[in-house]
Amino acid sequence: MSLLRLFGLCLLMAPLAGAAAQTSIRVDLSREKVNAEPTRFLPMVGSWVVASEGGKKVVLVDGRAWKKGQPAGGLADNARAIYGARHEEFIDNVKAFAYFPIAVAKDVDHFENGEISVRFQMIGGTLDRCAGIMFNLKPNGDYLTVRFNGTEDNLVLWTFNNGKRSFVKRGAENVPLELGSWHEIKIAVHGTQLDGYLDGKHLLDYTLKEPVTGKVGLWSKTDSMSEFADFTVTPSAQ
Amino acid sequence: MIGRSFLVAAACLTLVVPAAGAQRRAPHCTPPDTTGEWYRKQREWLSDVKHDWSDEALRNSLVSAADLMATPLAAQTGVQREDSTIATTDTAVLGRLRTLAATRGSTWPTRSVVGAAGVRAVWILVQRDTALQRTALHRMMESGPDEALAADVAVLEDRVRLQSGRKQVYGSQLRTVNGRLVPAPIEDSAHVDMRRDAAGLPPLRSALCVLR
Repeated sequence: MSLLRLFGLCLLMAPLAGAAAQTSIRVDLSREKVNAEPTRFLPMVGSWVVASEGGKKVVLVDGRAWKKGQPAGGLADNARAIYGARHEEFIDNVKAFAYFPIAVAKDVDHFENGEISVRFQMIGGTLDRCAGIMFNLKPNGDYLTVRFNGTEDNLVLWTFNNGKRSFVKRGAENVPLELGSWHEIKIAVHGTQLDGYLDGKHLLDYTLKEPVTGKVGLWSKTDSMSEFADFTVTPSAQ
Repeated sequence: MIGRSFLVAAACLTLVVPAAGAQRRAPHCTPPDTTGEWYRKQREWLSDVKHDWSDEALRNSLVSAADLMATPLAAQTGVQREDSTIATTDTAVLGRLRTLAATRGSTWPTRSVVGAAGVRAVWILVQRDTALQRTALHRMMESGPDEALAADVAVLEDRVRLQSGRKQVYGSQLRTVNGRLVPAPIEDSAHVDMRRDAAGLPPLRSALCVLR
């Protein structure tokens, strides 16, 4: 086979190779209004606002306003926006875990396989300093989260089922992170295989009971004050 | 004998600063605003009038050991000398705290167990024991804002962080540098007053006025 034909063959096969990794969706905050609730993330629990950090728009979960058992003001409307007729079931369960602020990414209709990453910085929080990725969010309010907790220095996978939180697995090592500095959490899901990364370091691997399928978003805990940016979802075939 | 320097400079830092002390302050030094929200919230939390507790005997022994009998609980301004400590002859109550700390699932003395005065007494007593401080901090964080005063949690966390070689986050721990009290290194100092506000503490600059 001549070099020219080989080159031509490679050109023809390139799109096939790319089919496995589909186009990334990066949640765009550039048109959001500072000090207003984000429109690209729908707050379900907690106080979420758009903030400006070094000229760039970020999402801030402000735990100063946190009170136990208090869902976000717009919960009913936001739940209706993403789950339509099934929103009442979702609301009932969300109220049960209103201890944990969550905001759903509006632009990501559904996530099964691929990667989700988000940059975050912890600013404050007396009881907790958390930032996490929520995924596998079901219409009944069940979900999974991989989160970093700055008061414990660890990356942990949790499940929420029927409003009850359960510990699943802790990252391989504790990593102290400084407040006011940006870091990245990433998860990779392939079938039932889940991997978690902190600043590119692989800390968590776990085999889930069933494949992931659901909505995604941001996660926090109680009075944490954390900022989020560059929430990116890169779906893959598996 | 209770270490008076600790009581004065650290734990129950009274906001009733003598007028003579005020005159010695540096110019432009404004002490914490006691009409502010932080003060109102703390006073409300520290009042035992509206709350009940379940273990009167433990409360009494804690309050006695920390010498809180005579004075009403003062609001926490969130600054103390990092080397401040307390001397108490009541080793029995410290032993009991150590046992509680070491026993998985034990009931830690929170507000519903020993009231606000009991919680403040625990906060004072644990400061003489590094290991106890860590457990107390963990238990206080776990118990939530109704059971542990956020301002006390903040100051204790700073103390624990400095002891483990990390920077503090609320600016509460002061050290003497060239004869002047200054905060030990603060992590993300740009947001320190926001964190203090969230913990129900006055701005650092004003809190420093009380000790300087």
